[in-house]
Amino acid sequence: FLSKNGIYEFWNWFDDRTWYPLGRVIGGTVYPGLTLTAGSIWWFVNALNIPLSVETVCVFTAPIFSAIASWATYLLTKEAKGTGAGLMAAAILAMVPSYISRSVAGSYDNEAVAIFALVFTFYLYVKTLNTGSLFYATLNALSYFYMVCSWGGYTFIINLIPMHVLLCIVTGRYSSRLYIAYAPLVILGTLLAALVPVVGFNAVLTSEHFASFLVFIILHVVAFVYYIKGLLTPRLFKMAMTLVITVGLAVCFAVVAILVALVASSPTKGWSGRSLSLLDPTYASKYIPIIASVSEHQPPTWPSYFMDINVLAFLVPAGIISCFLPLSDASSFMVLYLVTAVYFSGVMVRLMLVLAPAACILSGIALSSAFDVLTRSMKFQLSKLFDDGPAIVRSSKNEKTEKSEAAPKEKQSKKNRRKDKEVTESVSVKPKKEKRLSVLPLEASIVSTLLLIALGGFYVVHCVWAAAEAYSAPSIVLTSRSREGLHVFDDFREAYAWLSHNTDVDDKVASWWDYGYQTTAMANRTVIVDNNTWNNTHIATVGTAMSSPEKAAWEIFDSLDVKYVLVVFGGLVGYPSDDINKFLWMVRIGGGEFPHIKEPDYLRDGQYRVDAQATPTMLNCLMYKLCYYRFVETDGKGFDRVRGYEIGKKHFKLTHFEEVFTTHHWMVRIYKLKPQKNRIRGKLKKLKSSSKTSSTLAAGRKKNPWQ
Amino acid sequence: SLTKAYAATPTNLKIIDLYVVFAVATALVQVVYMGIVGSFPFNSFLSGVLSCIGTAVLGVCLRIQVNKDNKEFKDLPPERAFADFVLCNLVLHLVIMNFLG
Repeated sequence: FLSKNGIYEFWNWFDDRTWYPLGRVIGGTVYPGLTLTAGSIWWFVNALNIPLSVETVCVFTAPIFSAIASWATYLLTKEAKGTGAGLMAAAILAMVPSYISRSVAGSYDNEAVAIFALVFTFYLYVKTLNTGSLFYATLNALSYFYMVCSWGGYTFIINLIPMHVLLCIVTGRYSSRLYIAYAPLVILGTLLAALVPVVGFNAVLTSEHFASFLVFIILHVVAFVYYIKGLLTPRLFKMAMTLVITVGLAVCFAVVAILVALVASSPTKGWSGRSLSLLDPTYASKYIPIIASVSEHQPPTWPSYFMDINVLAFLVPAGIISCFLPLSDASSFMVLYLVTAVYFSGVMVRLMLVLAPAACILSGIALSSAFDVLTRSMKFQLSKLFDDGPAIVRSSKNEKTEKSEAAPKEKQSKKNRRKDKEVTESVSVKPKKEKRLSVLPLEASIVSTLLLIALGGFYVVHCVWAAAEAYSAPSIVLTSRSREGLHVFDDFREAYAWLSHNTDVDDKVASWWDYGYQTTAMANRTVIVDNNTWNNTHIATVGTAMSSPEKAAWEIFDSLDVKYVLVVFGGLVGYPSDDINKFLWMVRIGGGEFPHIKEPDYLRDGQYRVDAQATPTMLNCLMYKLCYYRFVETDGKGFDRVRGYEIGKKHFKLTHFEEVFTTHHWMVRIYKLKPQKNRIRGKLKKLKSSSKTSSTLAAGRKKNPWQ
Repeated sequence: SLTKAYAATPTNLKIIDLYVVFAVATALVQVVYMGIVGSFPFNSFLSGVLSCIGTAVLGVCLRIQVNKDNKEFKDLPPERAFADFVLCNLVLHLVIMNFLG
C-alpha cells in the first residue's frame, strides 16, 4: 500500500479489508518503522534503477537488518569493553538462534528492525556517556525515535535508561556526562515519541513513561546540588542543604500525592495491558485471556533457553563478573540490561529475543577476557621458556582494561578449565602503572584455549542446526518424512487459492484470528479478525459464534455479513495446532465478553474431550460440527489422529451451513452460510400453525429447512 | 554567600544561565496559561512546554561543556560545544515545528 499511494496516504489509511465491519485505522494503530524502512529501501533501490519488487525488498529487509545489528553489537561492546570483546560479541550475535528466528528471509515482523534499533540506541547512549558529546546525544534521540517507530518494546529502553541513570546516581557515579547523556534524550525522545501516531499522547500520559520523567527531575536536583556544592564552602553548603531539603521534601510529597491520586483513579493504574502482563506474569491469565492464549506469551521452559542461546547461557555469568573489573558506567549498564532482560524473558518466550543481544554482548566480553588471559599466559610462558625472563610481567601501558588473576587461588593443574574461576579479583602490590599479573602455566593455557575454541565450534554447529531445522520451515507449507520420502501438505495454500478463485471479491470470511493475515494476503478476501488482535470484543464475538449451536452461530455471522467460515482441522493427518485444540481459548475469550458462554459447559469432569464422553454443549457447538462434518466417512469410525480417540457425534447433518470446500488432507474446511429461506407469506406466528398450514398449502414443497 | 560565590563566575556562563532562566520562565508562563484556558490542542501545549524545557536543558549542557572549571571537558574546544548545541537545537525545533500542529 505504501509503495502505491505514498506516505501521506499511509498515515491516513483506513483499512476496510480487515476487521469487518470495523475496519482498522492503520495509520493510528501500526508501528510504522518496519513499513517505512522497507518502503524507503524500495524507493531508493528503484531510484537507482535496480528493478526490485516490493515483495523482494520485504523478504530481504530482515536479514539485512540483522547484519547491521551485528555491526551495532560490535560498536556497543567496543564502547563497553574494547575491540576484542566487540568482535566476539558481533560474531556471536550473527549466529544466535533466537535472533535468527526473527530475522530469517521472509520474516517480515517488527522485531527484525527493532532489535537493530534497540542495540544501536544503546550504543549511542553508552557512547554519549563515555564522551559527553551533545552530538551523540542528538543521534541517540533520533535512534530512539526510530525505535519507537518500530516496536512496542521501546518502553523497555525508556525505562532501562532511567534505571541506569538512577543506579549511577545512587552509586555515586554522577558526572556531567550523565546529565548530557540523559536530559536531552528525555526531552527530544518524548517529543519524538509523541510524533508517532501509535504512541501519541501516551508518551506523557501513561505510567510506562513516568519513570523517565521522575528520573529527569531527580537528575536535575542532583545536578543542582553538585553545582551548588562546587560554588560554596562546606559550612555554607550544609546550611543551604538543610534549607533546600526541607523545602524540597515538602514539594516532593505534594507532587507525589497528586500523581498517585491521578494514577490510582484509572483502573489499570495507567499501565497498558501488555506492560502489566510483563510485570505481573499472572495478570494476563486472570484478566485478558487473549494475551494469555498466544503461545509466544507463555513463560519459557529451560530447554528453550538452551535452544535459543545455547552456550551463551553459561558464558553470561562469567561476563557479568568480567564487567565488574573494572566497573565503568558502560559495563554497569550492560549488567543492568542483562538482568532486566533475563527477568522479562522469563515472563514471555517472545522476549527471549531481547535477551539475545545482551547475552551475546556479555558472552563476548567473557570470551574475550578469557582469551586475553590465556594468550597472555601463553606468550609469557613461551618467552620465559626461551629466555628465562623476570618473574613479573609488566603491564602494557596501552591496554586500558586489564584483568589480574589470583594465581595462588587457582589450581595450577590441567584440571582447571572453567573460565569462571579464572576471572576473579586480585590485589595489585606494585605502583599504579604496573600490575602484578599472574599467569597460568603453559599446558593449562593451551588446553583452555583449545577447549574454548571447541566450545565456539559446538555453538556454531548448534546455531546452524537450529536455523535449519527449527526456524527455516515456512509455516504455510508443512512437510513430513515418511517411508516414501518427503510428504508435502500444501493444504493452506490450496484453501486460499480456492477462496480467491471461487468467491466474490466482496465476500467476507470468518475464521479464527491466527489465519487473518494469511487470508487477507493470499486469498485477498475481507476477514473479520486477524493477527493484530487489537479489538478483544470482536474476537470474542467470533469465539462465541464458534462455541454456539448452529442457529445462534448463524445469526451472529449473519449480523457480521459473513459468507464463508473457515476452520482448520488436523484430525485426519495428525496436525496438532488445529482449531479443535485452540477451541478452549475461543471459549475463554468469548466467555470473557459474553457471559453466557461458560467454559465448564464444554468440559467433562474438567477434561476437554470430543469423544462419546463429551458434553452436549461441546457436541453441538459450531466448531465441533464444522470440523467433524462427514469425518466418519473417511475411515468409517471417525478416529481423530490428533486427539487419539474416536469422535463422539459421528453422523449429523448441517442445517445452517453447507460445506463448499475441503482440502486434500482435510486440513482446511470452508463452509458457506445458507441463505435464509423466504418466509411463507402471511404465516409467521407459531411454528406449529405455520407448518400445518404450509404442509396443506404446498403439497409437493420441500421440507422446511429449519427443522 | 551564595550570591557572592555566584558573582565570581565568568560572564559568558552568566549569559547562558540567564538564557536558561528565561526558557524555564517561558515554560512556566505556558503552564499557567494552560491552567487558565484549558489544554485543548494538547499537542501544541506539549510542544510549547517541551520546547522551552528542551532549550533550557540544552543550554545547561552547553554551559557544562564550556565551563573552564569542568575537568572532564578540558579538551573540548568551545566552538565544538557550541556547534553541537546549535545542531541539537535545530533538531529540537524541527521536531517542535512538526508537532505544533
